[in-house]
Amino acid sequence: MATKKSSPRRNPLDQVMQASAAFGSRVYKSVFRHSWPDSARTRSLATMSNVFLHLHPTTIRRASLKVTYTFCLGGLSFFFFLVLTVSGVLLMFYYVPSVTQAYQDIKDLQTVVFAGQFLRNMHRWGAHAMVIVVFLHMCRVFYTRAYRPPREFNWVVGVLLLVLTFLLSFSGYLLPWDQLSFWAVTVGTNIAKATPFVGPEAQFLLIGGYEIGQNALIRFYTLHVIALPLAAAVLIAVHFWRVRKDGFSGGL
Amino acid sequence: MADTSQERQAKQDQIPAQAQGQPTPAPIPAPAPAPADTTNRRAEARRRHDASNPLDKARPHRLLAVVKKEASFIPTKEPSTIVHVWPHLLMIEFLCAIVFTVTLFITSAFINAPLEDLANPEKTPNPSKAPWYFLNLQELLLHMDGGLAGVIVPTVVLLMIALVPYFDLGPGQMGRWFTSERGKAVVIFSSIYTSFWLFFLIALDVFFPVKTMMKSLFPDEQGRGLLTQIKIPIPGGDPTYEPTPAGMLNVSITPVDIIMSNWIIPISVIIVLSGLLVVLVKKRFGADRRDIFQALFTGFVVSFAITTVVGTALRGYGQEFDWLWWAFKRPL
Ligand code: HEM
Repeated sequence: MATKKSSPRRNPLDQVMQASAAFGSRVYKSVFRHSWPDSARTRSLATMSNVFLHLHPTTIRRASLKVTYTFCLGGLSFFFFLVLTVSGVLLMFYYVPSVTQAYQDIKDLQTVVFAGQFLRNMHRWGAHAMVIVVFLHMCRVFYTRAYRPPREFNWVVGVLLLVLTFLLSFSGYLLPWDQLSFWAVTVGTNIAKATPFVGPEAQFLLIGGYEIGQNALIRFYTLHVIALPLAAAVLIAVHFWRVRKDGFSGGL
Repeated sequence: MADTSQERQAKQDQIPAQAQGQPTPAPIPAPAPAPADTTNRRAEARRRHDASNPLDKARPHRLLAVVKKEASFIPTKEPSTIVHVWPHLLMIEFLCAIVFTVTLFITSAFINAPLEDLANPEKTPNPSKAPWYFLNLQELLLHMDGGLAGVIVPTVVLLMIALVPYFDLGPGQMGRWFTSERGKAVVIFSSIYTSFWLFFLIALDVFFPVKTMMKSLFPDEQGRGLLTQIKIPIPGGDPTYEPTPAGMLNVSITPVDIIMSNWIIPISVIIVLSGLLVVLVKKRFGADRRDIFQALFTGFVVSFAITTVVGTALRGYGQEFDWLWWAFKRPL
């Protein structure tokens, strides 16, 4: 440590430290390709050269940052979508969509699996929160009239996302296979039966039979873990793309 | 520029210090014409400027002066109104994510998701309720035909919501809550109007059920009614479907009292009350088209909220109205 910079003989420890620092900065550069974002150039690069951040523009009107305009609701909708995807994938490791096993799997999750109850709680409360937040986001967009041209189509995409959010939540409701889920879905799918002209057919299609059973469980499961999340992910991508292309309405 | 320097100072004070761009803002005099050879000095100034204030790093220019609107030099775009997304927006997003992650963690650590007994098709719980966000539909179901409440009304409402931007093309600004003060007043009025009518209608149907009234008005007589059920065979649909001897379609008859109580009265009530709302906001507030949309949308949001709460908290055994239902333990 006492060795001075100018000294020809260097402490081996210093040499190791310097070599690792050089290596570390090479690794950092290989990932981020620019230094810490503290100048106009590197700050622009920070958003532009990052696949996740480049959903954003590089600069934004200061007035658009006003939290009382968006209340972060669109971002929160996406946040909960991500939370539900991660916790949902973890739950899938333990859950088998079979009428003989599903309920026991949930019980095990709550009693045997490490942090299983916590995981299930997160998925459950996150799902309720997402329904509320997406609905409120729609209200925010409506009351600020942020659907004005050229944003009409993105509003329609939003309405589809709202419907998908309801369907995602509803299809997940059946999976624990307890009294609550069984009868809630019975009530819910009985509503489908009341559709004019094609009611019984619609219900049959939805639950794969005349009453909720294994067929309904596997249909709801497949919709819940694959079909609906994929559809939502695609629509969210379109939604974000359009926000970028149409311009954000705030702070004009 | 008749401003005294004091006034000018006062105006500058209103601008957040950050936005002033320089720790010691230069007094106002218009920028002097640049000397011929400035290359080095400009580079130097830029360097100093970059280091002076973190905000300046986010933009290549600086705020020289704030001038009165009618002054000869009007900056069209105030430089510091543009900021970099990193870190300004990302910081907000990050904080928001942190706050909600922590909230969700704490909630999940202390409140457990409900799990009842194993599903048993033989044992129907009383009441059987859908998830809470569908209890608004389940509430509607008590007051009208199932197809109307569960399928037609939500579909029409969603379609109307989806089409709003294609019809709200009038003048007026975007990006302001409720568009105008009048808009805000319309929204408040519509909330009160909708709440009043909803509570009134639900109470009416609870104490004087429309179905019973219609039954006594139109006593059921054999064969009197309307042809309402037409079934159409769908490939892969209901395999027990049997066409009537008359042809491919399977038809059935609904008695008049049911048509009245489950279709005609609810549809008329919805249309008349929405129409009345539109007339009232036009008369009272001189509402334009945007305000009318706001009134109707608010009607939807308030109805959605109230029917959800009533369906969740005030419907007990057999979906009977129960003031105290919410007080009993009810799994979410
Ligand atoms: C999964 C659901 C959804 C997600 C993740 C989502 C996400 C977002 C985000 C992040 C924004 C940027 C501005 C902001 O945060 O407010 C946005 C804007 C927007 N959203 Fe959504 N949204 C969803 C559902 C909806 C719904 C249900 C609607 C309307 C029916 C909608 C309509 C719009 C419109 C029109 C904009 C542009 C607003 C503007 O320029 O101010 N979105 N959305």
